Amino acid sequence: MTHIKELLSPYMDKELPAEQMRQVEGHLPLCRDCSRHYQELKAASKLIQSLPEAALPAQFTRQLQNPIEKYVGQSGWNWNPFAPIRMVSVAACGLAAWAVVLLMAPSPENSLPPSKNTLVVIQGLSENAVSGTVSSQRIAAPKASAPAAAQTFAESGLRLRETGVPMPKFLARAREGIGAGTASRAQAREDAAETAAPPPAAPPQTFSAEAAFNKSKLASSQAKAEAKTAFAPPPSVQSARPKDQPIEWRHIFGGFPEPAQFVVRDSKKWQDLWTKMGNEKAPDIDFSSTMAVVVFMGEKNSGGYTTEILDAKAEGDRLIVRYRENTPAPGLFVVMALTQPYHIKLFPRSDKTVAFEKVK
Amino acid sequence: MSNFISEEDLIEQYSGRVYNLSLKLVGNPTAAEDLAQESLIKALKALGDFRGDSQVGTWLYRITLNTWKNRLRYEKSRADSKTLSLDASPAGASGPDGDRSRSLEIPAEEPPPGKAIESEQTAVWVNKALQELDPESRAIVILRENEAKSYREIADALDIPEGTVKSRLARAREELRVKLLPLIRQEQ
Repeated sequence: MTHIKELLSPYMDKELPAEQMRQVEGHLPLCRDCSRHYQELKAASKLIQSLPEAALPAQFTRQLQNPIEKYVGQSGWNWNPFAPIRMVSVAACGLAAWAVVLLMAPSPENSLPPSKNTLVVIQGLSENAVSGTVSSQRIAAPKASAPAAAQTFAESGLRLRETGVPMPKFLARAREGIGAGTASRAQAREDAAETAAPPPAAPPQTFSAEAAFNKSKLASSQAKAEAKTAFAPPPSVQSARPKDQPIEWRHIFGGFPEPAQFVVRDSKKWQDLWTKMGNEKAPDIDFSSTMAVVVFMGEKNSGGYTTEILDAKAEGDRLIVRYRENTPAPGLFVVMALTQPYHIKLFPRSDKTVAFEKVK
Repeated sequence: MSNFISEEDLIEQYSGRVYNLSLKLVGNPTAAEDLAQESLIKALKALGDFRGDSQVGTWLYRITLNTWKNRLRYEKSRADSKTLSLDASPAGASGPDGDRSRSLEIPAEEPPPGKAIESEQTAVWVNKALQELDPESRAIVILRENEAKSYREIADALDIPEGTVKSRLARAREELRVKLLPLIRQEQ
């Protein structure tokens, strides 16, 4: 038989079935012990209810809108298990090793906005990839391991983690963005030659961790192509290409703060777009034969987000543009900076109405 | 952009409530600020997906509670022995023979008998008692006593069965009754 005392709590909340409500109600006047117990429960309840409401701390809202203000320079926030880290010494994964080097390389145009040049470490690596020891002396020589299957940065599970620790000088010397093997070094030289124009100082930043990581993929033409476009010079210095080859611009910084998907078919709108993104001159596009499809993911409060235009297919009297938005997997660490991912891609001109379809 | 509430309105109307919930959950203003901001940022990010199938407040509380639970889980996995585990079941029927003496701890200093308690001191006392509850029970008590949520709503917010809400709440209230007895008897 249930003791009345056990029913007093739900009785207080009127969350007992009618029969039991009546049972307790009938019992209380007859039992001093239970009755006192009930009064004490109610009193305790009132005490909890009487906890005062606190005012929002000063700066709360401002910090909400500018989270980077709060977190830059702090290596300890958000469960960084490696804080205060100088460098992750990478043992097994050559891929990760040079990626760590790359990301730690400072350069004015590559700085992660809006923070200073601080160490960014990769987290979310598998057990074999990270030795777990903290060493400020050296980066382990990258081993020539079998390249991982080509995948985007977002899918790789690797993430950037800004530590807030200033860049050690010897790492500054390592800034070349060259991969582990000679193949990727050659690739990088090729790309460097191709994109020889100096990047401009103006935002949006040319730094793309994604591009940097993707450059590491060996022997994958898709990866190579991605690397090429990702390392393409900023929009205002785009080199001319054959008309039938799609040109694209894809970064995690510099997009519009609001999500948007649209098509541009004339020079004025095209220039407007580039101006809004912080550039002086838009690339020269022949809109009689080309149009630009634009997807902005909107402002995100951390890295790990990317967007990707997949393809454009005619269906009846419409052109369906499929695109994807990638989000960071839960529980992984991402760079604590505001990002504005976007993808702009040129397609052969079509005057059909364009409909955008987001796919998983 | 959500049809149901704008980002500005969300921040303006709910920051205070999220902060207060956080404060009661974690017990100190610094941690509460962190938790509240993280939760609000998550909510702002997810605002586009909010379909209005629950009240905005409930939705926000769920985000706050999940964020809090994730933090606790992380702290637990770092083998912090002082952190209470979210999954640890509290003592059996509360009472002197409960096997978790920690949860039956009565604050060391009793309020001086016969003297009026300043409301601030009461708040400190009560908050301490609340913080001594295991995390899930604490969340249930807060949602019930401070947010006036029904058992069903509490079950939804915490993603636990309603029966669990009922029994945990009863147990937690008994613990609080014991801890707050000096205050209670004084006021009677």
